[in-house]
Amino acid sequence: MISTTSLRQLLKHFASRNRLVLIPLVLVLLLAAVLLLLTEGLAYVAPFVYALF
Amino acid sequence: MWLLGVRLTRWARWRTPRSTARLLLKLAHAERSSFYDLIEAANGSADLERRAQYLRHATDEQRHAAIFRLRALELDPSLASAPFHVDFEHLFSSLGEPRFLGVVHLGERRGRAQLTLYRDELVDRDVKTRALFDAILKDEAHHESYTEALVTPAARRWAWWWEAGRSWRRLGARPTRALFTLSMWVVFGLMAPFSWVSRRLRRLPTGWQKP
Amino acid sequence: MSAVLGISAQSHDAAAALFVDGVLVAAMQEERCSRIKNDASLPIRAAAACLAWAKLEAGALDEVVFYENPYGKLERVLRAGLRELPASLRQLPRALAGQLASKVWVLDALAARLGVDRAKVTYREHHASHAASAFFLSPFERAAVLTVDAVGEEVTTALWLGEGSTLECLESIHFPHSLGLLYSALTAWLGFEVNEGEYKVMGLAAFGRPVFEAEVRKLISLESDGSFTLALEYFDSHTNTEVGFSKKLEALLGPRRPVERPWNLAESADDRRSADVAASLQLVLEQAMLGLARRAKAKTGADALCLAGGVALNAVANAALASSGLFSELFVQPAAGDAGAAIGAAALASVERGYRPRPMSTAALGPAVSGAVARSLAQALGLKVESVPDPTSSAAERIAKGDIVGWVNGRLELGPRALGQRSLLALPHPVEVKERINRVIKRREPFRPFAPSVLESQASRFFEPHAAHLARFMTTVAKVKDRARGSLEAVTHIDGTARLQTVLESSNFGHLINRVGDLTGLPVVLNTSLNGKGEPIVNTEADALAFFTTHPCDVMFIDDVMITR
Repeated sequence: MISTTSLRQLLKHFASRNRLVLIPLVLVLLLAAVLLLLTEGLAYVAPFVYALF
Repeated sequence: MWLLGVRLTRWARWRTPRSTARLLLKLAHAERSSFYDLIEAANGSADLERRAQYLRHATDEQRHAAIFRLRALELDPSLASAPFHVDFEHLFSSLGEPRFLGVVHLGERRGRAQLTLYRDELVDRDVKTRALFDAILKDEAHHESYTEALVTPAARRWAWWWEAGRSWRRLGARPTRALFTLSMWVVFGLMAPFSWVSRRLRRLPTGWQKP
Repeated sequence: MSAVLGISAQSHDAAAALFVDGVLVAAMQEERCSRIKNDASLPIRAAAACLAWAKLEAGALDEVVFYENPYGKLERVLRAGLRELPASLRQLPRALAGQLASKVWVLDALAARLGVDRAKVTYREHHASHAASAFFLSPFERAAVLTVDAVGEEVTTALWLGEGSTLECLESIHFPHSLGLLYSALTAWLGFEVNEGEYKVMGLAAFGRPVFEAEVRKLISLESDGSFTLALEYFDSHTNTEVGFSKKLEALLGPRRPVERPWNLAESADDRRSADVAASLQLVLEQAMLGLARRAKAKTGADALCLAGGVALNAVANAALASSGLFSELFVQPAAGDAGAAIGAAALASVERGYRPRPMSTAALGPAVSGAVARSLAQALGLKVESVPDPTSSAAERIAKGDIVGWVNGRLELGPRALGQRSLLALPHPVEVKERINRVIKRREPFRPFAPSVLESQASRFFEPHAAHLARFMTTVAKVKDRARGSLEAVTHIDGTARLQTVLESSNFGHLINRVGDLTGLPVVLNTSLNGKGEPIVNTEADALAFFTTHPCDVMFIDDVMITR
């Protein structure tokens, strides 16, 4: 369901930001992605009032 | 067999008005979710008679949801702000009508059994809530019977297995979610120093920004 | 041929909009298909309905445009969450899971579920989509554009200059400083549901006096350059998505009003105080909007102003902008919230392909209804059915008799207001009509007003001057003329205004109102949306009949069929 196009776009987006902020963000993302894969993506996620997320 | 599990937790259900209210609210949500599936069927089915039946069923579910919710809020007004998770999986369009009927029929049969159990448990307790169950059970009996007439044996069997698979997944969801949250906390704990740094280094922008 | 499909989803109010050769041929909100209010899930059904209307296959689409940048959104969620550690510890795992498990891959999901090549699925920025939905669908060649909402990727408010086929962002205000979040936080504090209760707060405001202006000004400081800054200690949007306001706000204004406690403005001092807070909030919002408008005028020198974004749904603020004299003309995208952004996203792509959209003349962009289907379904339900060759006259007669009439005719409208396609209609007087509809049929809070629909050519008989482009889509309010108050008592709000709709005589709805005018001397009807409490506006014949069988309105007209019990 995740295409290489999207992955490329995601990386391109973060690559164009301030380098200093980049590192922790990417780390968190990678770790989160791995964890999600391990816990199989969480089929159901609670809705949010504000849809900020 | 699955009713055994329901029976075992009897002691918890009616203990306080609040626990009763929470149960009623859960039932209201279930009825409401069922309404969405049925109105989708009413809008989607090819046969006119069945469309009308689904439509009637849908409005019944809607009414039940309202009744349950009203009573729940009577017992515990603080639940008014409880978030409502809509469980609408578009079963009619994803399963096709025959299997959809199988799932609905199974759901109605189990639902009726469960509600009957609740009603019986309330014999010497909450008269008002018991009367509520009585009224709703009349409709549920009709729902069970009209779907019984329409459903095929193959679809019935299919629905049983499908529902069993989902119960299994439902069981696994909680520990999975807990594991994920726990691991994220660890991750964020590690990230905390970076967050402190970023807060110091970059103030949040205020006022007009150029693009 | 150029066919572009715009999509908004995942925040609230998912929608699809289809442009063919620069013409907006169809648009629809997913909630109207799924029957779940504010449904934010991918609008696959709405998209299918749009394609069906245009008789196009998904493969014929040149581009599918998503209304915001999913990667930008993820970045902001991550950044804001990390900044606010440890306070955000509870919410951030869930937020991140939501993003990484599905939301950030929305473009793939759209490609898969719509059946189009991933290469054809693109995105635009959130506020650009809003700006385009207002400017490119407006009748103006040159205009200032303000987009004001809760937050997109990171921008909450933006000022644009629209000229011909170009739309340029001049400057913007960033999260967390947001008028939308301010209004939503107080909406939640008043005990309403966020993204649903904001217009109720607007209606409530008329019952109060702005005695808490100073307190509200503590929450937000309005700068002299038109920008504003939220006092963040009063808000909690990073960390507490349930309500968005903090304990400090409750210390300032008092504890939150319990959700769904019945309203009684006549007898409860607490409720009157709530109305005063609502009035103060409304006043400060108007001041903020005027500040933005002044900035827009100074920076662009334009004569016209376009508005979009959720805050532009505040019709009272729009009226204040119109009467400020800063701009000679205004246009507000009728579906100013995220639903309209689907139109904007598609409009942007259309313009890039060389097709500049024509001005939006109607909001009736959804599926139509069929009398034949209505007849069969109603008969199967055991209702009385009658063919009426001239439904507008028959309905007008019933309305003139004092009946409350369900009117389902033509294409479903887009946007939060019913504009005569899926409406509940009645005479605009006496005031008991209002009570009856409010209490018995729609079961709303007692302070909620009803809106009038009037023939455009006759509007000046009953209403003071108002912005014409806005009134066509019910996006502004006007003062009811003193001598008309009596005959319009059911649609006049407590402060003497009405959120009117002006209707062209040539439309079906216009014919109906004209007939009512012939029969009663007043070409005005009370027009409220055809839906029950907590439901989206009805769409199909089945939805309409579900409403009819569960709500005591007197008669329903679906296309050329009249249904009674």
